[in-house]
Formats: sequence, C-alpha cells, structure tokens
Amino acid sequence: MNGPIATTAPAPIETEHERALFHHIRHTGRGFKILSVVLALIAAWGLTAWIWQLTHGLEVTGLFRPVYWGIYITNFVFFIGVSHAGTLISAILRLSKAEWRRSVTRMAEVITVLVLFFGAGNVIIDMGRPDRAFYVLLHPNFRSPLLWDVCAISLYLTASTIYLFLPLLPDIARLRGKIGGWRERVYRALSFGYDDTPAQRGKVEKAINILAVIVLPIAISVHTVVSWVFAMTIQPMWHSTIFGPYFVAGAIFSGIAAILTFMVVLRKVFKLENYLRPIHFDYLGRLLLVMTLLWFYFTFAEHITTWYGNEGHEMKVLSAKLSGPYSPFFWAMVATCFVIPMSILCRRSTRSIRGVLIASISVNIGMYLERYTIVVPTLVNPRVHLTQALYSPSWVEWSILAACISAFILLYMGFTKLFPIVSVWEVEEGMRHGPRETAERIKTFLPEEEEKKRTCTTETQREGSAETQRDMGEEKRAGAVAEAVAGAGADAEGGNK
Amino acid sequence: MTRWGMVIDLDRCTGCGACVVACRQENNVPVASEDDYYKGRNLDWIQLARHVDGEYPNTQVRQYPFLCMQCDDPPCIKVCPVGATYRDEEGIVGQIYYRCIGCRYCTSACPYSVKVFNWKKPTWPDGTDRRQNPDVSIRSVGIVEKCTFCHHRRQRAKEVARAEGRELNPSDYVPACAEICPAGAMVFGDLDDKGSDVHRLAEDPRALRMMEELGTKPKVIYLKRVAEAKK
Amino acid sequence: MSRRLAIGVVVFVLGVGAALLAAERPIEQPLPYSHAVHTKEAACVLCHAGAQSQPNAGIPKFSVCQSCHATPPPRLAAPDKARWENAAKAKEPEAWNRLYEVPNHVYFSHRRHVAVGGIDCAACHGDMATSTTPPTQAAVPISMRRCVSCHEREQVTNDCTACHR
Repeated sequence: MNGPIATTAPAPIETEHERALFHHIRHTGRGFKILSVVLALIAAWGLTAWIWQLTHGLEVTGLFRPVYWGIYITNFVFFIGVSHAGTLISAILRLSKAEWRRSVTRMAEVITVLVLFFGAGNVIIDMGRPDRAFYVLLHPNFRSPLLWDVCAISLYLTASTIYLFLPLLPDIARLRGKIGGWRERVYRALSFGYDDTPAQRGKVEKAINILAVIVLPIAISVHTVVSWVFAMTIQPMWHSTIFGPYFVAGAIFSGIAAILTFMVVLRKVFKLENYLRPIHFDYLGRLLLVMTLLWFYFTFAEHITTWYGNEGHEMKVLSAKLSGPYSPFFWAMVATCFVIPMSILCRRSTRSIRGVLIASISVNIGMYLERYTIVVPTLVNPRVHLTQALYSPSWVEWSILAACISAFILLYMGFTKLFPIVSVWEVEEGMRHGPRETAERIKTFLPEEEEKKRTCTTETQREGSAETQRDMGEEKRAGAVAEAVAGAGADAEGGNK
Repeated sequence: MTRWGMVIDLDRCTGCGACVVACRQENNVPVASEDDYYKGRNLDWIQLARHVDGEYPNTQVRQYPFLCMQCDDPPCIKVCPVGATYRDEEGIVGQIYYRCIGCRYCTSACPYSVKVFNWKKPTWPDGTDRRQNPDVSIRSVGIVEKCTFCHHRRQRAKEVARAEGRELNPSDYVPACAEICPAGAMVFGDLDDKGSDVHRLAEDPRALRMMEELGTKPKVIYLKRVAEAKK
Repeated sequence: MSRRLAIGVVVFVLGVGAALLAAERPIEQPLPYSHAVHTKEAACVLCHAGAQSQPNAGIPKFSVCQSCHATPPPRLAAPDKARWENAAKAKEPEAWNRLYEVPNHVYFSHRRHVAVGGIDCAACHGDMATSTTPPTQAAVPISMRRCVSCHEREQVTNDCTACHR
C-alpha cells in the first residue's frame, strides 16, 4: 500500500509527520538534560532514603500504632488511580471512534504503564519485610483483598503494556533505519519482524480493538479492588459500599488531569502545537468537568450519609476531616478537586489551554489529598484509643514520594527519546481516512434517502461496523461522500509524499 | 471442642500492671524506651487502657487490661495476603512470624488495634537478653506480632500431660498474665467446658464483650458492674 | 555467533558456580570418632544427655569424652593425639561442630519427640551404629516438608503454632 516500508531503502524518505514527530527523538535540548540530571538526583536521594529505611526498619517513618499506613499507601492508591489515565481513556476514545484521540492516546498509555510500577512499588516499600514479597505467590490467601490487588494489578500491567506496545509497532517499523545508533538495535529487537505490511497492519489494528475492549473491565476492576482493600475492613469510614465506584471515578478524574498536565507540557516542550490543538484541551477539559461533578457527587454522598447516620465511631473520623486536624487537607481537597476546576472549566472563555493546565494541576493535588484523607483519618481515629497522636510523615517518606514522582517523569522523558510521543501512524491514518470515515458514520446517523433504504437497512443498523460501511459506501455513495468531505479527504489515497 | 477464653473482672482489677510486665517477660517483648512509648511504638501485647465510665460528675475511671480478643471470627485473618495469621482448632489466633511480610493489613483491619508491628530490630540493653524465654522466638524487624494466649505454655502442658499419660487439667495451662494477676481478676480456661470457672463467669450478667456488634465474637470477656456509674 | 557462545559460557559458569555454592559442604570435625564403636557399649543419652528430657539433645563437650578416656585413646594418630592433649590443657577446648540447626522460628523439642512420641533417633539422624567416622553432614535434610509429612503419617498435630514459636 502506501505506508512507508522501512526495510527497503538505506535512507528512506520521511513523511512530514514523521519529520515533525521524530524530532524530539533526535534532538535533545539543554533544558531536557538539566531536568534529567535534577530528576535523577532526586530519584537517587529517594533511593538512599529507601536504603536507609531498609537498614533501620520502618522506625524511620512517621508511622506508629495504630496509624500503620501512611503516605506509602496513599501513594499506592494515587498512582494506581493516575494509571487510569491512559488505558481507560484511550480505550474509551478508541472504541467510541473519537477522531480527536489520535494524537493523545500514546502519551496517555505511557503514563499508565510507567505509573503502575510506582503504584505497585509503593506497596513493597511499605512492607516491613520486602524480602518476603514473593510469599504472596508462594502462599497466597485468596480471601485477602490485597491478594486480589496483586492479581488485578499484574493483569492490568500486562494488558496495558501490550496495549501500549501494539500501537507502537507500526511506529517502530517506521523508526527503523531512520534514527540509527544504539536505538536501531532496540527497534530491531522490539519490532519482532514487524514490517508494517498491510496484512500485518490489519492484524495489529484488530488486536488493538480487541484489547481496548478487554482493558476496560480490567482497569475498572483494578481500582475497585484497590478500594476494597479499605472497604472490606470494618473500620469507620472505610467500610463503605460506594468505595468501588467512588475510587474508580476518582481514578479516571485524576487520570484525565494527569494526561492534561502532560499534554500541556509536551505541547510546549516538543512544539506539538500542530498535533495538540486547542480542541483537544477543550474536549478533555469538558471531560474533566464532568468528572469534577461526578467526583463531587460521590464525595457528597459518601460524607452526608455518614453525617446523617451519626454513628459514634464514624462521626469521630468525619469530624476529624471536617473540623478536626485533617480539615485543612479536606477543605483544600474540596477546593482543588471541585471549586477551582469547576470555576475554570465551566466557562468556554476560561477553558483555554492555560486554564485547563491550572485545573488539571489543581485536580492532581486535590486527588492526592483525597487519597490521604481517606487513608489516614480512619487510622488516627480507631475504635479503641490506645495512643493519642497525629501522623506526620518523616523525611524518608517525603523523599520517597518525591523520588517516585521524579523517577516517573524521568522514565517518561526516557520514553520520548526512544519513541514518538504522538502516534505517527495513527495521525497519518486519521489524515487519510478520518474525514471520510467520519462523514460516512455521520450519514448512518441520519435518515436515509428513499431509494437506498431498501438495499441496506440491515447493515446500517448494525453498530460499530464502520468497516462494512466503508467498503459498501465506497461504491454506492462515492458522490455523496465526496461532497460531504469537500476536499478534506482529497489526499485520502495519496499519503505517501 | 476446646475453646480457650479469658474473663477479666474489672471490678477486681486494681490496675497494678503486673499482667503487662509478666507478658513482657514471658513473651520476649522488648521494653520500649520512653521516647518510643510516647511515639506509640511500644510492642506490648497487653496494655492498660484507661477509660472513663459514666457522665460527669458521676464518673469512674477504669483500667482495662487490653489484649488480643482472640476473636472467633477475627477480621485480621481474612485480610492477610499470605495466611500468616490464622485461628487454630482451639480458637487461638496465631501469628506465624516467619511467614509475615509486614504489610500491616491485619493491624489496620483489627477494630481493637491490638496487633503490633516491629518498627525496628528489638534491642536488649544491659544484658536483658539473658532473661529471654527460649520457648518464644525473638521476632525480627518488620513483622507483626500479637498476644497468643501464651500458646507455648499450652504445648508444654500438653506434652507434660501426655508424658504422664493423663488428660490436660484446667490448671495445667494458664497464660502468664492470668497466672500473675494478684487480684485474681483474670480467669482463663475452656469456654466450652460447662464446668469451668471461665464458662460460668462468661454467662454472668456483668459480662460484656468489646464491640460485640461487629460480629467478631471476642473470647476475652470483661465483667463490669454498670449500676454504679448510672447513679 | 561467537558473542552468543560467550554469553552461553558465562551463564553456564555462573550457574555451576551458584550450584556449587548452594550445595552442602561437609563440615569438618576436629577428631576422628566412631559412633559404631561407642554405641556398642553406651546408650545415645550417655553423651547426648538431653535427648529424652530436654528440648535440646546436646552435643557432648570435650569433658564428656574425658570422663571415660583419661588419656588419649590409643587408636588416635599422632597429630590427633597432639590435638587431644592441647584440648586437655585448653580452658575452652575445641568442640564438635554442629550439623543440625533448628531455625529461630521453630520450636523443636527432643523430649517431645523421643520421650513422648517414642521416635527412634535414626528417623532423623540416620543409623549411627554403622558409622565409623564422625558425621560431617546431617544424615537427612531437615525441612518443614519432612516435619509435616511425618506429622501427617503419625497423625499428630499439624497446627502452625505447635512448632512455630
């Protein structure tokens, strides 16, 4: 077909998009280098803190009886939540055939895969005996929600890694022979003989679609199970039936916020203005607005039932959150998760790229606070008060949190040195087929013209079978399509410049 | 079937703390420094919990000897990802230190907050390591431990009884705390044995089980006269 | 091709090295000793005094040897004789090396197994009546699996806390 096949020529011709999107792989700016060094130093400092903790025991944390869980478990819930950025959002957008997804999916999927390591890693950091972590495989107790987590997260990590990798394959095929050096070897190893022939491409696309369907329930199950770690206990304000959906909604919320932040930064740093257009931020901003409202609804429902029920032990936790020592965190959370994003995102004029950036950073902070105010106040206010104290994290815990964030960003930066952060083939695909497919799809929504009704009622009623309709439409509706597309699809069959 | 349980008569308890000391001695519980104690890092398996009963001015301060309730339906054993904590045939909730990975899920799930975690390697200053009980292990850093009703004493009692070719007598097996109690406030025995003191006292109208409404079925039962506080 | 070969060789060498390190190395004993000769005339508990009454069976100290052998046994070779004499003079003489190690988290009582359970020593320690040299390795590997399988066979408790302290 017309896709560039990288194996033939020694110096293959690059398309316009390849030139633009491979730029950040080839060129490393000074800022990038300085930032990498700074982040690496922070990560190294966090590693030192962890080694310090390993040699001294968890004594070096701010934890005590009965506050056995603190920042590490907060990190775990938060990072796993952020991981819903990629896979879930990109799967939803792929399945709903949202054309604007094409330049967003890759950067979201990378977040998912990388952040999961830090989510799972924080549980291991939290363990008193990380050397025995493999016991969960040797001696599993399937009644424990923590084991459900182990299963769900490892499945999710596997699925989302494949889900990141498959759409990467056609790009790896394009990268071969174009970058050179040590990366060429990486591309050769990772392509597994994939040459981006039409037959191979067809299979990859099919696999992506199947995986998008599979990944959705897995992603939802992951954060549901994370919430069940808390909800399955009988501790006040943890033992809540809405925790599953509440956590999933929160996860998608923080996920979207994370992608938005990354999008703004990547757009600026890698000069992706042509690929991340204001409309992307507008659409995702609207989605963030919806999630803000959903989050508020869940939070309100969760707290009003506790307050109205007025059960002693629950009320102790609730008042610690509303007016007690955790009220600064709680009200800051309400401000950053609801007031700020809501007031920015609800108006078109403030839903600018800058506005969306502020809102998304605010939501990221707010969701961290939310996880913190879920984990800690319950433990500080147990049913039996043997120790009266407040939890404040130690320098070790703060260092490890900083290191996790730095290492995550560093790995993300490393990814951009290997692969294009915007999926080249998907953008080109969109340029080539997008307008026509969309136009055809729109036609299937609309009432049909009389003479065609008799011939193809059955096909058009079938949902999601754009393939069928394209094949069919190509012959029957050529004229109508050409009119609808009006020049936008003029280069539909001539992508190879 | 044997079901070990304990009755603590709060009307008899003087709050002397002998049980706490005896438990430390028996079970190799390191004595926390003052600093660690105020940080909530002490490892005591039994503690005296001060509780004010009644409304001011008709109040009464009581010391509850607070230990693992040895629940018949413990919330802690369900959540352990590696099955390091379990309820044995005779109702004692055991902790297998060598299996524990230190995730602290059980400590967070316990409504009584009675399980403790080894924040650091235990230290034995000034030759106190010489008083260690060889029947009880020295726990390593990073694992959870708890009151076991001195189950090593049960093993020993059974061994002696078997060597002597007889059945286990109720007096053969008593945990250290109940044995030491100078006021006789702690009574230990088989709750399923109709003739035992502990069974009789558990049926007492003064009997009260901690947070019974949670459905954990605790086997540590407190006796408390409530009429006084109401006056 | 040659690189693959090199990697293969390195992996092989590392693997063999690890296997050698992991394999049990014999533990040297300070003097020659024949269980076969001694068990003809004495019961096990004469030297392993705690086997029936204590948790630990005990490894005999040099003084236990001396209580029968006032002078070095005539069968000893010259260098061993010198060692014996040195040991007799020393305040803390060289001791037999321990072959069986009970981990800290396990409570194992010899009394419970020998006196109460009536298990033959050979079940875990092998038949010492035929051994003419001091043992340098545990006769049977001691593992939890072995404990559990015997407990199942004998229908005694398999409760965790029965052995794990």
